[in-house]
Amino acid sequence: MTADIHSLLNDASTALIIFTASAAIASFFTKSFAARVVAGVVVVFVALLVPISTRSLFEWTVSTVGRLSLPGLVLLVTLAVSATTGRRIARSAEFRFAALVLAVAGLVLYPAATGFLNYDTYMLGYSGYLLPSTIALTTAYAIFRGYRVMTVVLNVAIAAFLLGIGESRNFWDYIIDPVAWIIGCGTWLALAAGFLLAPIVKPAKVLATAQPSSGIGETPISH
Amino acid sequence: MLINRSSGALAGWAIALFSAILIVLLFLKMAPQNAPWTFAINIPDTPVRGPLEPSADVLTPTGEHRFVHAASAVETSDGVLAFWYRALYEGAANAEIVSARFDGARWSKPRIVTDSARVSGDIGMTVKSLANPVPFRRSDKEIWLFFAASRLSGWATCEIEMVRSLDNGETWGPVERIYASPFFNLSHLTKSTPFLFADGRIGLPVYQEMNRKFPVLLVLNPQGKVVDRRRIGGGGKVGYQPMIVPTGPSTAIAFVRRLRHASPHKILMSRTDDGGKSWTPPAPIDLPNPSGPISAIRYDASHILMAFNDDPETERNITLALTDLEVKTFRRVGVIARMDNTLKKANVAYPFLISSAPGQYDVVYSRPLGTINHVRVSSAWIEHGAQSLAAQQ
Repeated sequence: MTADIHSLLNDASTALIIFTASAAIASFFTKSFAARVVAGVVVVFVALLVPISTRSLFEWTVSTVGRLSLPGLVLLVTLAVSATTGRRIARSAEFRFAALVLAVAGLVLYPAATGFLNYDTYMLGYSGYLLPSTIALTTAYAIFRGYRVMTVVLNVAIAAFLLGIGESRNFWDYIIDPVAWIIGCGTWLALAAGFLLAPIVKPAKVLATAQPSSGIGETPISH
Repeated sequence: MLINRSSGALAGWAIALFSAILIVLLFLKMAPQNAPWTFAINIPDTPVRGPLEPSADVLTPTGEHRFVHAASAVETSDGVLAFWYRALYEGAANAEIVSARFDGARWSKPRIVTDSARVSGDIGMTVKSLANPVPFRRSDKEIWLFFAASRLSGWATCEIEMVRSLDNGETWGPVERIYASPFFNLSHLTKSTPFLFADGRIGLPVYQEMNRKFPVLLVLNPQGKVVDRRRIGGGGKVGYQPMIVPTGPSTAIAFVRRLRHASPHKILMSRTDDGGKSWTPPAPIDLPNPSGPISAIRYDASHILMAFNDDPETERNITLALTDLEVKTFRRVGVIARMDNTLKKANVAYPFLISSAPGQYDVVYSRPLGTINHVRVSSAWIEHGAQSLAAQQ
């Protein structure tokens, strides 16, 4: 039973990653919601069937990624919705803030915890007030700005940690995972690139014929 | 409209209140424990007794064609239970962790504890190979067995797993993941004996393999979950496979295997004087090391007994030595295994030392291309060897 749950959660994480990436790529070629969903589903099945050495691509991904954290899962679901529907989530201040928090948190955690620095920041997730204080401030800001989804996700992550659900007893593992970090960094790199390229792209747009855009997201979810 | 607005505000306040409660509980749960860390010190009774000659035997069946390595052992009420891993070659898929029982006269046939397929099924992801089983006696009947499982390819993609036996190693429960790293739970491996803290927590010496190689102490709660992690030294490209020997309630020594391309070719050592919370940077001591692991146990009130490769270049022999608790003086007591110079790659590697009874010591080690070996020595042999070598010097 426990093994089945582990397997289900691991497989679901990988399926979501492959689906989202495929739907996002498909969004460059089609505006159709159905076509993007089909592309995502087809690639998941292809990943299940294509063997690389002794395992399928899907199994390799499961063995690499394991299981996402709750914030990572919510972020990926949001991206999946964006990739299939074309909603432009980067226009959401809540999404941008969540991505920024994950990008900064990952930058604090991963280089140090994997040995690039001689101080182990992963220890902060076992005990001490620094990480809870940071999360308290983040939650307070999310409440203040009315970021309901982010507040709820943080609350559920804290509750899961308090109840000891999950294999880790380290608070970091309930609020971030490397996939979420990559998405957070990717989002802000894309935003930064967009900001830097805007002066170059805008004059070109003036000359171009107005066309409905396609690709990841045109319609903001909020804000 | 007004109702919607007020219900929205109410929901907002409810979320804020709920968040505040959770944050308070989070602060309470993560409140730093100011109690000092203390080791459970068990000074062994070491009567001078037993035969003056070591006894030696082979655990693996004749004609074993697989790669066998990283033997370890734990004492049982009637002898010794040994573990090792076997695969087609080092790091190959479909590896097995096996055990064999010694009743004082002969070894039983190896039995499979677990294998790659079972580990994959239990943790819900495919693993390739298994390695480095290390047992921990949890109680008279219960044994925990930690080992490394490579998820992709190569030891850098390992995570640590654990299986429990409630009947002294006859049967084993499902595999549980030891969660030790935020980066996809990569890349830690086991090698050396776990030990107990005074409050019932368990110290598991492990090492980080990917990117940098440095020794790490994982602290597990009595349920087997990692509740703290401390680097032995600051980190960096240091050394690996730490062997920790508590020497006092708050002091301990960690012997560390040097990196293959590092100099000097000596055993490294780190110390703690705060119960393992912090460790000095590993520094060389006056014993050679060909980049092989060291095994050590408390011998008596004032000595540590070590098993190591007494050579700076090759795992040519396995030697036992006594050292004081400060690790300042050493007395070699004898060589218990030598490399067969007529064979290629016949090095004697990965000694694992235990005391299976008062005054009785067992070392298991591997000749990786074919056999797992066992040597039993007595305290009489150790004392005699120490005195003879001292007299020669």
